[in-house]
Amino acid sequence: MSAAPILELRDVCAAYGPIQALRGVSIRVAPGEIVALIGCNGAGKTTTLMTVSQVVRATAGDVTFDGCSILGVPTADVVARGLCHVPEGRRIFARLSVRENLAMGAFLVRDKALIQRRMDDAFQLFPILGERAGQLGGTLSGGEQQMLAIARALMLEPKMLLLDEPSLGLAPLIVRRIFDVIRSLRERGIAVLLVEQNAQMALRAADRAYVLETGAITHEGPALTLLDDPAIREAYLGA
Amino acid sequence: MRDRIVRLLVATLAAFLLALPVASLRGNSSTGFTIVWTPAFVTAAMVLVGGAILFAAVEAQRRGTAFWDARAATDSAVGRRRPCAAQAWTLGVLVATVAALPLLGLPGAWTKLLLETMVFATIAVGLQITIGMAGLLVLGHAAFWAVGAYTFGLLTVHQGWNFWIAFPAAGVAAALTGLVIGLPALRLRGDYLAVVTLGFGEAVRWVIKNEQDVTGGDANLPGNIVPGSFRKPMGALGEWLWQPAAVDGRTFEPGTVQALIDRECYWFALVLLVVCVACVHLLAKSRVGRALFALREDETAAKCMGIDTTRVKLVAFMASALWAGLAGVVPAVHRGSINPEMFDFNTSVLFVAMVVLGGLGSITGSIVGAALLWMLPALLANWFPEVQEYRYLFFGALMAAMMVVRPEGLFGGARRKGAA
Amino acid sequence: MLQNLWNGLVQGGIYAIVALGYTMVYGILLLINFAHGEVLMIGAYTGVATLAGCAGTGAMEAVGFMPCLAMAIIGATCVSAAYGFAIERAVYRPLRGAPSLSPLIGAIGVSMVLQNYVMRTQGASPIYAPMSHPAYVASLGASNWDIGPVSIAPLDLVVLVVCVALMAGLWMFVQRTRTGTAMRATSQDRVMAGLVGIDVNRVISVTFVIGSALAAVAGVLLALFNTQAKYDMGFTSGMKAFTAAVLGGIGNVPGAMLGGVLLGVAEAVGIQLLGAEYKEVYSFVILLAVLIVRPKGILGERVAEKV
Repeated sequence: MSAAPILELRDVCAAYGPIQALRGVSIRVAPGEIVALIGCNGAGKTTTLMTVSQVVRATAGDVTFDGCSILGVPTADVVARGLCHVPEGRRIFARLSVRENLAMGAFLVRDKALIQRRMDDAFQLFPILGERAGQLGGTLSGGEQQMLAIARALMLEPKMLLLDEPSLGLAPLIVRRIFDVIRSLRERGIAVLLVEQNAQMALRAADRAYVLETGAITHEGPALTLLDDPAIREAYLGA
Repeated sequence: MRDRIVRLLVATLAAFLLALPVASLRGNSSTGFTIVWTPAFVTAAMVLVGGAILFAAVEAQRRGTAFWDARAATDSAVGRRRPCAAQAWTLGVLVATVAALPLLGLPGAWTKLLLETMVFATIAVGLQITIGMAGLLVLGHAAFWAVGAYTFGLLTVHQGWNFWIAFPAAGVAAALTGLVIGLPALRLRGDYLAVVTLGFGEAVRWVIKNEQDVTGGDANLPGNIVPGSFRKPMGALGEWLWQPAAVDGRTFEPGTVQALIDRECYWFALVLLVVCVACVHLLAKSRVGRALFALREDETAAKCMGIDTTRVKLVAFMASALWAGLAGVVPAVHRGSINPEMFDFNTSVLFVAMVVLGGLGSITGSIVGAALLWMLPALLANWFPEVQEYRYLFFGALMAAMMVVRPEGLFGGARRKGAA
Repeated sequence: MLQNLWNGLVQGGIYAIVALGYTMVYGILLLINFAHGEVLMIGAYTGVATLAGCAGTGAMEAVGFMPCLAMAIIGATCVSAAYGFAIERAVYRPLRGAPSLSPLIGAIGVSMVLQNYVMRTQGASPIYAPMSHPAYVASLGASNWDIGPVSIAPLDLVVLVVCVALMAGLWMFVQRTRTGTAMRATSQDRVMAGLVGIDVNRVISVTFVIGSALAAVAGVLLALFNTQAKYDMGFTSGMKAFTAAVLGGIGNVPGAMLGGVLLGVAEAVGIQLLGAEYKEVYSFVILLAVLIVRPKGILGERVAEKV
């Protein structure tokens, strides 16, 4: 952890009206590192990601990406700097074809040949998407939609991905496939901040992890250490 | 601050440029193009002044908000309410004063103006049920007013019905019309209702215009001279409640008749307004009222709580229409004539503007809104006759500005929008 | 009868291009843009003033009617687009995210302001297009062609050709271009569109500009059709175009085109069967009927969405 972090949150607070959702969250992610953020419902995991991609404005603290503060930068510009967000529930453009969905992922790329090359890469990573290229996004199954959502984010060749609940509502076999892909991102040098309810899966895939409780970080450390921590095991792993 | 001034200057310049082709440029097929500079400059000046006022208002509000919020918070925390008895007394004295005004020698013009204001206030308070409580925008409310007025007029003039039967009939007719329009429209998203009621308002106006034989078309209701039967009371009680001014046979000096009619209609309008306010107030406190507020905040959640949303909306919509219908009786009697142009789209928007200005959900607000929007232009017109012509321009601007700056209206804010 | 249907078809073409503006804005913002009809009216005023001015300066005699018409349409398009852009910036953008009643009331306010503004500055009486000018008579004022029982005016053909061209152009734009796809993506999920790097505010501005430009063309054509422009023309045509959009399925671009044409024809049939006095009421009755029978419209919601 000596390298300069690619993403750093320093004492970030956020609120919805009178409700304080985050109370001073600090997270560091090194380049190429997979970091898991686990916690219960309503702990503020999704809000954390939203404040990073500037969909929700932080009320205090600072968010730096790649060395500069991105606080208050429009979401589109955050994406342009190489930080892609795959939100909860996948949010595929249902009435756009798979190919158009991927093209939207590369909205900021203007070179058509480059888009085509990356699209071919995506079809190689997820062959099923290649078979369905002309189909509308809304007609895909849940697992296929999740793959499309990740593939769409990768179209920009980002430096970092924010993944929100990629396993939500998917069959175990599909979940394993998705996590294989997430692990493979490490080889491509893409850092990942992974939010998960499925703590077991997340901790096995991640290098390090943070535990979020009612808007504050309560534990942090190497993922495997947390996996063995009795308190964590009891609270989040059901063992 | 600097940022604001720059923005205001940009807006002023933009307004000038936008005004040029539309307001200043004239094309004439014999003389070619001419440019009349005045309107563009006036527009830019208006935007500059209006914008400055807006900024000042926003600034004042931002400073004031902290105070108001703190007070509201402590009020609700302690469960404090203004003493009820004192409130009732104030209200009673106010109503008594207004009722006594004509006896204290209020000039005729004022009586007329106050009377009209009370009619509009009744309609605005009724409209509060749909817009303020249920959160449904109605853009054809003038049509219910028209249905009430014409039902009353036709029943009395053509059928010779007694006032006390025709009066409730006007309200019922309006409410039933509301049912017919509401049934298809209320099952859908709220904004469809806005358009459907808008179309309905126009349709009603066209029907009145086209059915010449019955309604008198563009002219007034045929036989617009109020006949004796129009005002014949029902027995002793009616005699006492509604003392006809021009009852058969009695003779008056010219001018006195109008004064008497003015005065009686004034009291009638006042009673109607008071009853309306009481009913709407009770409705707001009732089970149905709470269901309406729930509906406004979150329709899906309300549905899940077991509220039959369509039915509740329909009740609200019909209650609103009922009050507009009843209020329609007053101009019919007072003016002795009605014509379709009184009930056009502008009038519907005027009602909405009254509710919006006063504050969504606030009864006091609606009354104040009606008073401001109806009396102020009329009074200003005494000195600046052109005020009346620019009224609707101003109303529109006011509505848009109000939404941007203070969506809760003058008297709203009791129920703030919650967390995002 | 056939004559009436033909007239209805031409009228319907105009409704369709106005309906496109409603449907595109509704698709993205879920807002009924009440000021859309007024934007059309402003386009009509600009267009008619340009035509009249051209006639007055002698330009029309020099170059003929059609170039002047083209100029009028271009001028109207620019002015209306500027208005559409400004309205969105000044009123709708600050109200983004407010409870749904607020933008709706704001839209009514804008519509009132524009209508009364034009009435005050240009006068309450209509301004007339130079339809008796020799250049007009020589080009579009020529006598009608009779095909069987139907008599086709040259103006009808111009209107239809322009409408079809605009619709085809818009269709290509929405389906094939990057910005068009971004528009469709934004209308499906605004937050997600932001997360893939689409500048949502820009997309919305583009939507307003395109919708307003279409309305301006419709306004000029409508003014030629009626030989005049009047301050309240946007109100009625706006209402009808909105009906057309609902009829086709609001938020759906081909639906708006279909709805417009159908509404025009239905209105013509209504006039044929029931008389012209209730011309203004038919569209409202159709709107009610659609809402009762099939609220999502003819082409609404073609794909079932998975959650």
